[in-house]
Amino acid sequence: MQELTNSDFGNVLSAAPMRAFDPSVLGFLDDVSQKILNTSTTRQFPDLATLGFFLRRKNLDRIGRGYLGDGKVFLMGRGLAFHVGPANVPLNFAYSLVASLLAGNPSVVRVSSRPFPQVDLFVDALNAAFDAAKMSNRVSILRYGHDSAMNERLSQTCDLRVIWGGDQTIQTFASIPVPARATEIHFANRYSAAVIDARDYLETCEAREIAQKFYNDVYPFEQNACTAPKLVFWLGEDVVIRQAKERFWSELKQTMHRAQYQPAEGVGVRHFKSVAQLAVEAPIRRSISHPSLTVIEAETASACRLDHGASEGFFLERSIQHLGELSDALDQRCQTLAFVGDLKTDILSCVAEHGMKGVDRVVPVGTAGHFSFVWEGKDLIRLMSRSFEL
Amino acid sequence: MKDFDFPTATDERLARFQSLARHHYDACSAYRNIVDRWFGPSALSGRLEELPFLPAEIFKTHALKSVPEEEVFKVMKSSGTTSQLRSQIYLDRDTARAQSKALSSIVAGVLGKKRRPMLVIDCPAQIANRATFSARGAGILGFSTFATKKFFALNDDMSINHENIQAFLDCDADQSFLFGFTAIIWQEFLSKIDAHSFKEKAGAAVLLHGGGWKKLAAQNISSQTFGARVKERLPFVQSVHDYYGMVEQTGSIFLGCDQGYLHTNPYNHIICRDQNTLEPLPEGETGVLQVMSTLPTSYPGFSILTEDLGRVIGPGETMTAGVTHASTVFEVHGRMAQAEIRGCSDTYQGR
Repeated sequence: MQELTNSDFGNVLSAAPMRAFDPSVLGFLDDVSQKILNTSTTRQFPDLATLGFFLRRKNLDRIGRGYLGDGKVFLMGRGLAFHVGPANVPLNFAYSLVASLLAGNPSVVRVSSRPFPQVDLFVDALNAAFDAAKMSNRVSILRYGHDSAMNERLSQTCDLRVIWGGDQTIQTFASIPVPARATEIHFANRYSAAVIDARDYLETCEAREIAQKFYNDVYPFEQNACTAPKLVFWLGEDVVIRQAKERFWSELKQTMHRAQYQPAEGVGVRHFKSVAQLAVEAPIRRSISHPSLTVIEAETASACRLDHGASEGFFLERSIQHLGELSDALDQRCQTLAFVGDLKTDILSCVAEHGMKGVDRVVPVGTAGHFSFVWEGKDLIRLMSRSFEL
Repeated sequence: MKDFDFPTATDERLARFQSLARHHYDACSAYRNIVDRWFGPSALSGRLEELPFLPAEIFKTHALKSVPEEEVFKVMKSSGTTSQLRSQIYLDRDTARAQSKALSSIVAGVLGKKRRPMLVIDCPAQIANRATFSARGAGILGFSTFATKKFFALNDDMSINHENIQAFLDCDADQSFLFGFTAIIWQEFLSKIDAHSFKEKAGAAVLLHGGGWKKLAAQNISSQTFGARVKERLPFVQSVHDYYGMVEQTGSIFLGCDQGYLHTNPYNHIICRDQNTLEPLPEGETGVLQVMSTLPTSYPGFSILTEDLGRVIGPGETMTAGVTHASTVFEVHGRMAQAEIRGCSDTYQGR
């Protein structure tokens, strides 16, 4: 086991919960924010910079006021939180940790064994801010392999267990019980989609900006984040859709070119493998074949495989005339639906009308990867704390 | 006299591959779907590099057959060491016969037509249980058909079996051959003997080896280094030949020359493609290898995109069925780098 932070692990395990949005925690996180934003290498990692901005006192104060309702609500931590971070998005665990600390919980995080420079930089910032705030007694970040003894110890001790990502990981931890009264928060395998109002896209003067935003939702983590759209639905009349598609994919290619996006070697082979797997079973048609952008048209709703598994710029697209057709393709595994056009209310009506179990986030394109304390419809701060009305 | 049945002229070969493509398109719906939905049916009558190909992986996930079930005579399975799924290859009698005939013709290019004593550089356990055959076991059995008598050079604990080796060396035959898997020969045999261990051997011997370079490439050992080491430690070995083959294209193996390069022969063809665009690459450039075989009619495996990297070096010559043919010379460098499988599902990789 490797402890990344300079923490007093034993003290963290026995630390007491505190009030949510405690000034000491807000001060500590603001300090972390400054350390991140004042490190020159941060500029190389947009996700780290985003985290740095998110942690500013001003931002967290604003969020805190929302939760505490100007003193009408009293929130208190639950106790020791044990977070199991995912391997696909380097700093996802940081947001889980921050929510947990703000909710008033001492927190232990198991991070993926995959090395990411952003993780090291974030840990450096935590370590540097520890002393002033005595937070080394409340935060510990660990990296360990498949050490079931450590998983058991932390699970048995914790009051709150948060598992990010992976049906298989959730399954693994199902056999490692937490105390009966402990709270559990799970994030299962999820997939995301986008819906584009074709007319709206053609009429906007932001065709390029929208492609850029879509790029930001997809390519920074090679389409592996669960928030990255894998399906693209085109809403409108066929002739309009045809023009919109042409414009959009061409703008996306130019965006990739401008961003000097470098595909990982072998992407063509991986995309071809995915194409062949799909083509055997589902009626599809080739739309675009370009390294790091493969677009396949699904000729039926059932060919829209949300779990097609390919990434690095692999999309299934489908034309629809009504939003209601989304309900045929987007089942409970759908997490985020990013939209282009004035569609939010209509999408939510569609979710209600069709009693859809999926679609937990409906966000404008370009913000699919933006973190919010309400994640997949779960309010993390509230789930991680006890609330009392005053 | 013409006792071989492979197309030799370039346009004959193209016609053979096109007719295979058309046959599988008509006979196998899965193949037809992939062609229609990705390549387009016009690819069926395209040039060699335009003909459709399948990813090797598809034989692990789908049962692809181009003959009715009742004509399936044997199902071959890959060893499945790297993943849980194993390739399933459906053979009818015609394809099986064509495979063994092709293998004989190709191997005859270096061993001649007469059977010879064989030294297997592996342990007998590899073929002890037919139910749990590995690729190693299958290879040993496949090449045993060229043997009058076989001797195992290793004991089951991978120690050297000096008695067996001595018996092989004492065999009264002017021709003999040694066979084994590249990494086993290097790690379990060559490293344990020296140039004086087995000096004397009447007659000429040839060493055939295959199974891939993954382990040796990691140690920066080229096929030339390998060949030189074999001849240094086993002075009676006259020539060393690597072969490259896969369960999806059994029979039409690519055989290496004594200089350590692989050659195509009349039963196969090689195309090197860019890993990202899948466009064919010119000679000398490294890419992913597509292998083609004139043999498979019972399953659509005549054109396969591997995940092996390599490069085409240029034109050459090869001996098949006693006749010299023009060939394409190439080399295999090893497996493509695996993409990091990243998804919300892999917090807990492996076990």
